[in-house]
This record gives sequence, C-alpha cells and structure tokens, in this order.
Amino acid sequence: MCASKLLDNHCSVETPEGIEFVQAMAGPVPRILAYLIDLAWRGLVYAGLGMMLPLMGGLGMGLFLILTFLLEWFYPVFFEVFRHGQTPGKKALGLKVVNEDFTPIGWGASVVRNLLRAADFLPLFYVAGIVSMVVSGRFQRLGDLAAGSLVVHVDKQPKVVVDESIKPIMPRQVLSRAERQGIIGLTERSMSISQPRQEELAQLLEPVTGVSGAAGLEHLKGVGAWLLGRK
Amino acid sequence: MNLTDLQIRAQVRTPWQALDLGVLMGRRWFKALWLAWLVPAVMLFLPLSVIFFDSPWIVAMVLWWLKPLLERLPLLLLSRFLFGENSLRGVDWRQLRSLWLFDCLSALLWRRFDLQRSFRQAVTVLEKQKGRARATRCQTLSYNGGSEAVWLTLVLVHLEMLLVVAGPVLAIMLVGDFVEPDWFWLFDAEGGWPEHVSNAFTLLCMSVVAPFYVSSGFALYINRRVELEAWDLELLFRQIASERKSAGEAAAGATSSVMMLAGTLLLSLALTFMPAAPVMAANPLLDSTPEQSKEEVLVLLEEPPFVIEKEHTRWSLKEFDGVDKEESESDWGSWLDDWDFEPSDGSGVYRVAEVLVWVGILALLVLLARALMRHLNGLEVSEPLEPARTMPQVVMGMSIAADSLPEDITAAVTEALERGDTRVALSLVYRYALHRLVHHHGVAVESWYTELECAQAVRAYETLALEGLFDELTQTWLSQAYAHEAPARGKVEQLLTGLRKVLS
Repeated sequence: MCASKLLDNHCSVETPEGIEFVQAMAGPVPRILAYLIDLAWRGLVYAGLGMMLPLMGGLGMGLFLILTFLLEWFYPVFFEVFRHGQTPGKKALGLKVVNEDFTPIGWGASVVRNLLRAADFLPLFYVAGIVSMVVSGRFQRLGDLAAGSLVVHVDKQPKVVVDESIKPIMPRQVLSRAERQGIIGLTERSMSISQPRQEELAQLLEPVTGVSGAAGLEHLKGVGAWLLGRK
Repeated sequence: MNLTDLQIRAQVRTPWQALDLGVLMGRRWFKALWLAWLVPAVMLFLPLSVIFFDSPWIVAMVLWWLKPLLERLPLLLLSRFLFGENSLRGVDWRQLRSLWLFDCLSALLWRRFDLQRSFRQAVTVLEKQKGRARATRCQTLSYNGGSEAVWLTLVLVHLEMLLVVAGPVLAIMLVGDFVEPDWFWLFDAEGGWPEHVSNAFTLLCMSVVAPFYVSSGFALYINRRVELEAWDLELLFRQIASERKSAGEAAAGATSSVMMLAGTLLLSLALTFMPAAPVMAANPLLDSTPEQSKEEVLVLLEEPPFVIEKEHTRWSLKEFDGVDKEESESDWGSWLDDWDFEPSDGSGVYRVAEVLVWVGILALLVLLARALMRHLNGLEVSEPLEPARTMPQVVMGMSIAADSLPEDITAAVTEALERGDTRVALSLVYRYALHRLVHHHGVAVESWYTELECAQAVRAYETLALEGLFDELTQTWLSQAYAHEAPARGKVEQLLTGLRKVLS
C-alpha cells in the first residue's frame, strides 16, 4: 500500500471509485505517550475506587475486583467504539484507531485488538508490542495485526492566514492542481520562509509567471491569494 | 546536498509525524547505523573491561557517558543516506577524529543532560556550529519540535531500561519451572564475570535503541529545515518548471504546423483580437437553443440546493418581539421607581451615580462630536489626495487595452455583423466601451470585477451622460455571453453609435 520508493509515514487506500485516501500512520513514541495518559486516568479511577469500596466490606472488595476487570479490559474498547476510535490519551495526542481501510473501528476488531494486549505485553510492559510496531510495515502491534486495525494521526486543518496586504491577481494561464497547491503553499508559508529564499523559489516558477525576481514573488503571492478566494 | 536525491517524501509534517518518519528511517538503514554505533562502542568496551576488571560499573558508566560522541558517526551516515549516498566516501581518519573531538568537551560536560540532544546533535555535527551561533540556531530550530525532542528522549531512556530488564525476564519465562536456579545471582554478584556479561547485554540494548534515537532526532531536525527552507516547494516547483518547459516545446511544435496550414483563416484573426475570451469561445456543447436552456434551468431550480423543503410535524412557538419589549419596559419602570421613590436608603450613592451618569453622557457627546469633526475634516482632506490607480488592461479575462482593439471599431463591428457573428460584434462593442470608460474617463474598475460590478462602477460615475446605455449594453452582453440569446442587429448598431457619441 505504501508503494512509493521514498520513505513516507503516510499510507493510502483506494476506493473502488478510484478515490485515494491518505492517512499518516502513528508510530511508537506518540502511541506510548498516549498509552501512559490512559494509564494515568485509569490509575486515578482505581485509586478512587480503592478508597471508596473497602468501606462496604466484602461486597466492596467484590465490586472492586469486578470493576477493575471491566476497566482493564474494556476501557479502550468503550472509547474506540463510542468515541470515534479515540481514548482520552489518543485524543490528547491527536491519534485514532481505524480499520485498515480507514473505516471507523467496530466491536469485533476493537475487542480483538484489546484482548491481544496480553500478547503485546510480553515479556514486560509491551516490549513485544513495541518491537512489533517498529518491525511491521504500518506501525501495527500484534493486536493490530490480528484485528486488522491501524492507529493514525487525525488530520488537523490548519487555519489559513494570508497577509492582507497581498493584492489578488488572476492567473494568466490555466494552472494544474500541483501548480495551484504549490503556489498556495508558498503564499501561506510566506511568514516562515526567509525573503531571499522565497525569491529563489519564485525564480524557479518563471515559466509560469513570466516575471523574475521580487516581482515574480509578488505575482505568485497575488495568484495564491486569488486562488484562496480573495478577489 | 542535492534535493532531487532526497530519500524521504518532502513535506512539512507535525513534529510527532516527523518522529514516526524517524523510526522508518532508522528501520530502513538499521544495520549500517547499528554497526556504526556498536563497533566503536565495542572497541572501547573491551579495553575498558580489561582495565577495570575489578569494578565493572565504571565500564558501564563510561560508555553511558560517552553516548553523545558514539551517536555522531551514525548521524553522519544518516545525513548521507538521506541524500542517496550509501558510503562514507571521502571521509578519512583525520575527519573522523575531528568528528568526535569537535566541541566534545561541552557535549560531555554541561550538555550531557540536554534532553533535546538528538535534535540538536545535527547542529553540532553537520552544521559544525558551537558557542553562541549554535545556541541561536538551536533556538530557531526548537521553536517547532523542541518539546517532542524532549519526549523522545524520555520515552527512549525508559525503553532502553525496559529492554535491559526484559531480556532476563524473557529468559526466565522461556526456561520455565524445570530449573530453579537462584536468579538473583545476576544482581547480587559484585564484580566478576556476571557483571561483565550484564554490561555487555546493556551495551547491546543501548546499541539497538540508539539508531532509532538518532534517526528520530534527525527527522525532527530535517522536518524543521523542510519547513524553514521549503524543500518541498522547491522540488515541486522544479518539477512544474520542467513539465512546463517540455509541454511548451511540444505545443510550440504543434501550433507552428497548424499555423502553416491554416495561417490565413479568419479564426486565427479573431483569436488574436481576443486574447483570452472566457465565455464566448465557440463551444459546441453550448449550442442548445435558449428555450431548451431555460427549461433545463427551471428544472434545476426545483431541486434541492435551490428549494429546500422541510417537514415540521409538531407545533413550535414563534418568537414574539413584542413580549421582550414589554418586559424591558417594565424593568425600566421599576428601576425608575427605585430611583425616585426610595431615596432614603443610601440616597448619597444614587446622587453620586447620577452625577457619574451625566458626566459619562457628556463625555460621550464630546467624543462623538470630535469624531464627527475629524471624519468631516478627513473627508475634505482625503478626497483630492486619492492615490493614482493603475488602470487594468484585462477585465474578466478580456483584454481592454487600446492595442487589442481594432483601429476602426465601427468597421470591425459591421464586418462581424455582416458575417452573422453577433457574439464577436457585441464583445467588440463591450470591450470598446470598457476601454474608453476605464482608460479615457478614469472609471475605477479592477481586473477581478464582474460585469455587474463594472456596471455599478460606471453608474457611480455620474459626470458621463450615459443615461443607462452601459447598463443596457451589459444586459445584452450577459444574455449573449451566458444564455446565447443573440440581440437583433439593429440593437448592436444602435448601442455602438450611442456609446461612441458619449464616450469618444
């Protein structure tokens, strides 16, 4: 699925209609941190239960054991099925669990991937899971491999801020999709790239703009603003 | 450094995604990176173990302390792999020595506990910066990715410890219950072989984690450079430029042969007159009659985006504006009541409040008056000072420059009408009118205006005695251009003569 020879952390799925979806796979470091956040939340709940339930005597002890069992095994399942594949920890790190074809994860897959945590846990604190993540093609731990699930980064739409002083210019010729994306990218990122570098980049597009140097950059940014809907 | 050889897909990623990419990089080149870390480490480990045979903890300590230096060779390798160069060609012993000695004192002393080590290592090793220059460079870089670098270090430190403990645990699990030796001799024994074996195993674990640590930090660094120096845009633009070039060459070849064959055709004449006619190019798909189009439009207008039907199955209350007003009035009344008739409890406070309210109102009035004055003054001053505008040469993709129009407009229009091409005739009239209005009478029109915006701009320009002529022209032109409703020939001529009278 990750056919490109170049290294990339994205993988894509093509629907029968020929539409390509691309998602960034989530690797070990963010996932470990997300797990630790979840662990901390569960620890808080256990501490609370441990303080309250012993007051009820033997019944309390029984309840404590039952609740611990449920929480330990079904905490991730609950959140993955009812909260769009995001436990609190995953949400904090911007991750979510999906099926291998990027559809929302269901009961079956979620239960399988979380029951197999027992295998991932071996021999100590998920060492097997981490090794599997690093070795497998799409950062899948053993549970993911069995359930056919993936953990991906949730796409965030960055807010587009364009310098208000740029005067929109209508492009002089038909632009391809790649060209439009490139020009818009340059316009959006003009705050973080140094001025000489921007001019150097604009120089490369001289066949499109027909102007060189600083004027070419101005023109490109104007076209970018126009493409972004400022008219 | 040649960007076209870049082995990763250039893209600005979030720092977390950059870490993931780092893991992928570490995996692809694992063997080389691992050996580059392990071989120098073993070369240190063996002599040290011999020297400090009686106190093995010193060996482990020294190796752990030298980690920043041991990570330099893998980093250098990685920086070459990234650009498709799979060897250390051109690196001799002197360079290797300087690789390890460069700025090594600070790396081993006060920067040994730098949690962003993997991220900043590249500045030292690859950019060869130290001191103040290094500090400012690191600050620029760690603006985006610094905290992730810290998390990377924290996670991998624990992972390394985890691996060191997991090895023996796995061994115990695999051996099972058949043998029950005293497992804790490993931890109890002081000095001697067991501790040396444990040192070697620790070294192995460190060497396995190190390539991923180096590559993840390096990926963060590269991601930041891609962002700051727009590597992705450069690659994209280069590709676009080369595509344009080859496409341009192909097109030039094709058009030249066509021109030879059909050079004298009127079509090309018309094309040169109208360099970029957007809607009026002869489009066979649009050759339906106005009636058909109208019917299609009417059908379309019945459908969802235009007509939204909603079914309400239960009653809901309307919002009555009157009720609100009454309520607020009664509020006001009761407030007044309090004000007037109950002065006994704390009337002094009310007095002060009253004075304050009046002062506030006065101040507001004064401010308003001043703002008004300033506004009026500003109007007077600013009107003559309006900056000279550049007049557009192209409006709505149609050229309205003088040289794009024929010398004798009436002759050109008549000729087009003779040919029966009302579309060309009307477009000539429209462009001629815009040209005269914008370039000779100074009507403020911008290149991105639509037809109706142009008409509005012309209407706002009252000194011309157009008497709705331009509006009429706009309407006629719109129906011709978009609805394919050709006007009568007489109408075009009448519009042209009318406009010439006023505009020339």
